[in-house]
Amino acid sequence: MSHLGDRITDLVDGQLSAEAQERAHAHLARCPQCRASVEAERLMKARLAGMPAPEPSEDLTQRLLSLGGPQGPLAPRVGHVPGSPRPRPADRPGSADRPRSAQPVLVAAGPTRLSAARRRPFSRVLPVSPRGSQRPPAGRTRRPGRTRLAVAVLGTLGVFGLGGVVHATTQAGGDSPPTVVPPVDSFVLEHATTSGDLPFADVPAGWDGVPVSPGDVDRTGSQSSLIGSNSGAGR
Amino acid sequence: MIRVLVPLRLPLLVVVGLVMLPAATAAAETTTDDDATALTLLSRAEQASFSLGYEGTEVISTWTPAGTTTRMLDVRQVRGGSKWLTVRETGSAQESTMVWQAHSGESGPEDPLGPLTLLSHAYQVKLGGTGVVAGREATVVVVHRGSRVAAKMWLDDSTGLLLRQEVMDGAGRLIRAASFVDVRPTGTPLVPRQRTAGSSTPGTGTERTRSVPASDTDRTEAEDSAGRSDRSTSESRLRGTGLSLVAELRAASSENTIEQTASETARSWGVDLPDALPGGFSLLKVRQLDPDLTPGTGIAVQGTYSDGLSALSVFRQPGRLGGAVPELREQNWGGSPVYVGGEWPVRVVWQGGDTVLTVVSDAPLEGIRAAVEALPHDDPGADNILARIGEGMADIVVELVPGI
Repeated sequence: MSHLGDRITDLVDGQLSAEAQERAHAHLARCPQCRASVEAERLMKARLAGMPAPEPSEDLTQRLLSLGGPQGPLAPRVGHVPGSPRPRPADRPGSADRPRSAQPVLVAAGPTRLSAARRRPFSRVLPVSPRGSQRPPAGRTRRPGRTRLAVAVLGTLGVFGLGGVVHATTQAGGDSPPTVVPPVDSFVLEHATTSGDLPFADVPAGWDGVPVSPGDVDRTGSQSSLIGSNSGAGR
Repeated sequence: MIRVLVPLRLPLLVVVGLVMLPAATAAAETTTDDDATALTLLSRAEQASFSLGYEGTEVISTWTPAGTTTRMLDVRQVRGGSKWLTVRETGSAQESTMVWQAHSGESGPEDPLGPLTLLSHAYQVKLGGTGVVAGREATVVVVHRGSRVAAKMWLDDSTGLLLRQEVMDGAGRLIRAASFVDVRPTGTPLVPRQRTAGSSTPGTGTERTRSVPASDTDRTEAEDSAGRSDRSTSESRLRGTGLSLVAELRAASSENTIEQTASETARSWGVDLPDALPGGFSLLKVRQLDPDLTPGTGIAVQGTYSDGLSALSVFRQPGRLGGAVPELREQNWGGSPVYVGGEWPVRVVWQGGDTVLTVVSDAPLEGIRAAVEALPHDDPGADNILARIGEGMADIVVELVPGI
């Protein structure tokens, strides 16, 4: 097995499958180079996690808050910004074991598992609640994560169910409709046979004098070929 | 020479009691003596189209956005019998012939008012002076729609035969002209039968009869030279007959059988075709097409519409259009994609719901377009509904479940 390379990051993040993780551990057991790389990666992540959040300048904070509109800054939003890493329970409002900043912080959204076309890199301003607040400010509350997940799953099922209904409605019967290539030239001849006897349509529209094949002669000339023809009134 | 035997069915279908909407009644109520005379002349022409034996040469020209065509036809009609049309190919010795079979026996259409009813339903007719076509004196009947001239017809003073016809589009441009350059009556015309007006739908029991003035239709070739001498007398008689005709047309306006019969027949096949289309087109006839013509697509139906001047066929096939249609160009009509062949006759193909629709017509393009836009079309955005739902759902999921 070659060195782990890019898989080191996935191994540290726990993103490898069980089988791949087992193979990686087997490799680490006999490869000191990769073992050192893994240790370095873990150390770096631990140090980054222990660093305090960067504090924006007062000027930047005021300018960002002024973007809220003529009614003044938006009410501070507590909790997690969609698209960003999910906060740990200790970070949530009401947790007293860790101090929270009263200042807005910039939170970078991480990549999602959606397709590349759906990925939208963005950064959002996250004004967190005032220090010591036990309740989120009025105007918006956050659902617990499980509730949101349940809503998302049910919503997905509902929409796909709706899509299924729409699909079934449009397909009318479920079977794929046949692909049609209209025999336009033949239709022109059929048009001529039915329009040519209109007394004021002086020439059979559609009959351009092109010789008709014998098969067409039989078809257009045979009364029995006009299956299901309505007789009209007075016939 | 190849002969195609085609049954003459449409006039029989256009039987008594065709739709005459209140608009037609209103028009009839204001009919003048000249209008009544024009209607009578058209009635004679319709009668002569099957009762008169004649032969001659006719030149037909069409002007469409796709180009101009001119054809020369040898025409021969047996009195009360079949009609032979032979087209000589330009620049070659090749020719082809189409034959229309006569109505049953030596009678004409059972509904003598049918085509005329259609015409008077969609248009107003007036006398437009006189002229000479192929050396024969003719009276001109002008067909109006509102303030514009839709067509002009030169009707033989002697036999009533339609000698020349010009059809204009909405802008007044000539789009089709057919004119005899030589015509000779053969034999003696049929003695017109007692004509039946009103609804002759079996079971309706609402029949009216009238006689076409035999002296007008029974004229022979030998009498042609005297045609002008008694013109004033003839016109007086025509006016009287015309007023009677107007009264019959007005009475027929309250009856509505052909369209209903045709559309009900279509519905019994599970096919929905409108009774009428914009531009005065009325549904005259529906029929199922030979399955060999449209294999594998289920029941294919043809609906034939007419406004008295032009015909418009709607072909309906279940299924989805398999991409572009050969030799037709994609265009956008009324916000929907259609494939159009602009030469005469105009052909239009598009997807209409779960069916593929094809329209073939010799009507002016604006009339065809109005009719096509009135028929079902796919919602251009319908195909993307699921895709749009998916995109919206992805947004919701991103907002609610940021971890993914």
